[in-house]
Amino acid sequence: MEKNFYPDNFEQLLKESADNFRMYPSKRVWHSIYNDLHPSRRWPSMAIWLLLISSIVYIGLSNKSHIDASGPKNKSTATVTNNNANTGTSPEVTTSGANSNSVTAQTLVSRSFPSGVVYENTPNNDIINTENQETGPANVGINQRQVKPVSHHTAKKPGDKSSLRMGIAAAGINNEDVNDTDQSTGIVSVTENTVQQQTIAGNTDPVSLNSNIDKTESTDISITAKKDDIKKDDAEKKPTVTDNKNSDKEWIEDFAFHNKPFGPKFKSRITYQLYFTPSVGYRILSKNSDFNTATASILATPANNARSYKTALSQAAAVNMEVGGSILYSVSKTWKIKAGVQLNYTNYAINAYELKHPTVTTLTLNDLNTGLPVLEPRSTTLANASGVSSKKLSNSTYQVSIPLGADLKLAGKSNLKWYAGATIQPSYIIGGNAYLISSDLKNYVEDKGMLRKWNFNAAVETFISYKTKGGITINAGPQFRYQLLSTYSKEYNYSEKLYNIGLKIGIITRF
Amino acid sequence: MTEEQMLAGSIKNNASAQEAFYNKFSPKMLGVCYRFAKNREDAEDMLQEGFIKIFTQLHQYRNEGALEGWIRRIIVHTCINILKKNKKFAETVDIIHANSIHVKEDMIPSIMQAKQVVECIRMLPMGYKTVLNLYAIEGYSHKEIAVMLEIEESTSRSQYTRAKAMLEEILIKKKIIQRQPSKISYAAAMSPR
Repeated sequence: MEKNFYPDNFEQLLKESADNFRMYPSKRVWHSIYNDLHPSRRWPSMAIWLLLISSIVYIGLSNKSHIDASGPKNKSTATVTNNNANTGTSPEVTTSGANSNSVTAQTLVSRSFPSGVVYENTPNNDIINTENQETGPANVGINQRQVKPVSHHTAKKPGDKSSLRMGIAAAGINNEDVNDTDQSTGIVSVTENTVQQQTIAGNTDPVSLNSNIDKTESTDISITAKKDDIKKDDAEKKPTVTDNKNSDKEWIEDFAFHNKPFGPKFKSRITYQLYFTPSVGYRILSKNSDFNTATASILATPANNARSYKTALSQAAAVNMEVGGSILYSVSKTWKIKAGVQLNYTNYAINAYELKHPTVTTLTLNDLNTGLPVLEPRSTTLANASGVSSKKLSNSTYQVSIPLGADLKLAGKSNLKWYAGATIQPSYIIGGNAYLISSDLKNYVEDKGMLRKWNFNAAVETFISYKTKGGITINAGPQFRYQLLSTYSKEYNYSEKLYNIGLKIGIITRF
Repeated sequence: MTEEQMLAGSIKNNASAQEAFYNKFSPKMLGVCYRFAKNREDAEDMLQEGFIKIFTQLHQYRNEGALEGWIRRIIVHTCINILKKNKKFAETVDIIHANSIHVKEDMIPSIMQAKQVVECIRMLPMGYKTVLNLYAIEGYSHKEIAVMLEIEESTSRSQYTRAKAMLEEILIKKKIIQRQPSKISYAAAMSPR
C-alpha cells in the first residue's frame, strides 16, 4: 500500500487497509468458543476444581478437628458410681450426678456398667439414663475438664469378656478407647489424647489414681474405689498407687506443658471485621512524568499554552464508598495484623457541556514504543468550557482491593480503646468511567480503555474501638486513602492520583 | 491441514479441526469486528459470538463462493446485531466540527499504515463508522445497509457522505492521504451500488 493516496483513491485505500489489517485474539476467545461447542468436555476441568475445593475443605476440617481434639473443651462433670463393688459388678458412670437426665448441652461422657449391659463410649451430648441403677457405696465424683466425646457405644451382654468384673471408672480422659484385655483385673485400659485437668473427689472413700498415660500407648488407670473391693478382685495384679500422687501431679503438669492447647489460643486471637466507609473523594492532577517533556511541549497548541490545566478544568469532589471485610490477628496486646477483601467505588464530578454534534479533538498520548508523544484524534460530543447544555460527568472506578496492614493500640483499657492503623491495598480496577481532557483542554473524550487495570492504594486511619456487652466490638474513626499510581495508563499525558477522606465504621466479632 | 479437511472436521465437531479453522480465520475476522466495535474487548465478544454461529451453521455452507466471504458475512451480521442490540449505531450526526482538529502533522510518528487507517475509522462516531464499514469496505449497497440497520436508504447515504468527509479530514491530518488541489469528489458515495 502506498502512502500519499489522494481522496480519489479513498475507498480503495480503506478497503486495502482493512483487508491487510489483522488482530490476534486472546486465548480466552477460543476457550469460550470451545466450551460452548463442547460443553461436555468442561467436565474434566470442573472435576479438577471440585477435587481441589474438596481437598481444601477436607484439609481445613481435618485441621479444625485436630485443634478441637487438642484444645480444652467445655467443663463436664462425671460421677462414677461403683455398684456392688463387692460382688464384682460393674460400676456406673453418670454425668452431673449419679442419676442424671438434666445435663446441659455440653460434651459429656457417660459410661455405665450395669449388671446387664455395658456401654462403652457415648457420643456427643448423649446421656445415658441410669436411673434404675443403684448407687453403690463407693460413689466417686470426678470433676473433669476436657472430656472428649467419643463416637460409638456398643452394648455388651453380661458375661462378655468385655464386661468389667470390677467397678472401675476412668475419668478425666479424652478420646477414651476401652481396651478389654485387662478388664478381668479390674483395670480399664484407656488410650487417651490429652488430660487437661482433673480433680477427683471421693465422697466416702479415698480414691487413688494411677496414670501412666502416654499419648500413643494404652494406659492402665486404676481407681481404687474401696480397698476391700480391690482385694476382692485380684488386688495383686492391680498396681494400686495411692502413694504416687506427687508423681502423678508432676506427670500431669509435664503433660500439660508439652501439650499446650495451641488451637484455641490461636483461635482466640483471630477476629473478623466487617466495615464500610462513606467518604468524599477527589483527585490530584499533574503532568505525566513519563512523557518526554521536550517533545511534548512542541505538541502544545496555542490554547494549551495559554491556559493551565489546573485552572481550565472545572471538577469537584464526590461521594465515594468502601465496603469490606478483614481478618485480624492479635500479635500482641497492642498490635494486630489484618488482611481482607474490599470493594471500592471512587468518584469525582466534572462540570462539562454537551455539544449538539460530535467534534474531532485530540488526546496527547505517549507512544510507548517510540517514546514520542502522539496527538490522537478522537470524536466527542463533550466540551469543557461551552456547549449547548451543561452536563455533569463522573470519573469513577470500581475496584477490588486486598488491604494488608496493621493496627496499633494507642491507648485505652477494657472496653474502650483507641487505635491507629494503616494498610496497603493492591487493587484491581474492574470498571468505571474515564473522561479525558483533550490536548487543547477544550473537550472531554470518553475512553475507559485508558484506565489502569492494577493499582496500589494506601490508607491510614485512627479509630475508637468500643466492646459491647454482647462481645461485639464497634469501631469508628476517620480514614484517609490515597492512590499511589495514576488512574490512567502511562500513555496518557496527565497523571491522576485519587484520594478520599471518610468515616470508617466497622464491627468486629469472633469466629 | 487443508481447508477442506478443516471444514469437514469442523462439521463433524472435531475439536482440533475447529481450532485450526479458528486459527486460520480469526485474525482477519477480529480485524473486521474491531472496526465495528468500540474497543478490543467488545470486538472479541463479537468474534466469539460470530464463530459460535459459524461452527453451528457450517453444515449449511454449500461451497458456493469463497469460504472466507461466507464467514465474513456471518461475522458482519453478528457485529451489526450486537450493535443494534446495544443501540450503538443509532446516532445521527453532522460534521460541522470536523475541521476543528489542531494537529502538528510533522510530529505524528508513522506507524503501520493499515492499523492507522483502521484506527482512524474507529475514531468516527458509531453511526458513521458502521455505514462506512458496510459500504466502503464490506461492499454492501445502501439499500442493504438500510435493511440491516433498519434506517432509511437516504439516511445511509448521508451518513456515509459525512463519515467519508470526516475520515478524509482525519487521514489528511495524519498525512496518510493528501488533500487534492481540486474539490474532493463524493461520486462514489452517491452512485447506486
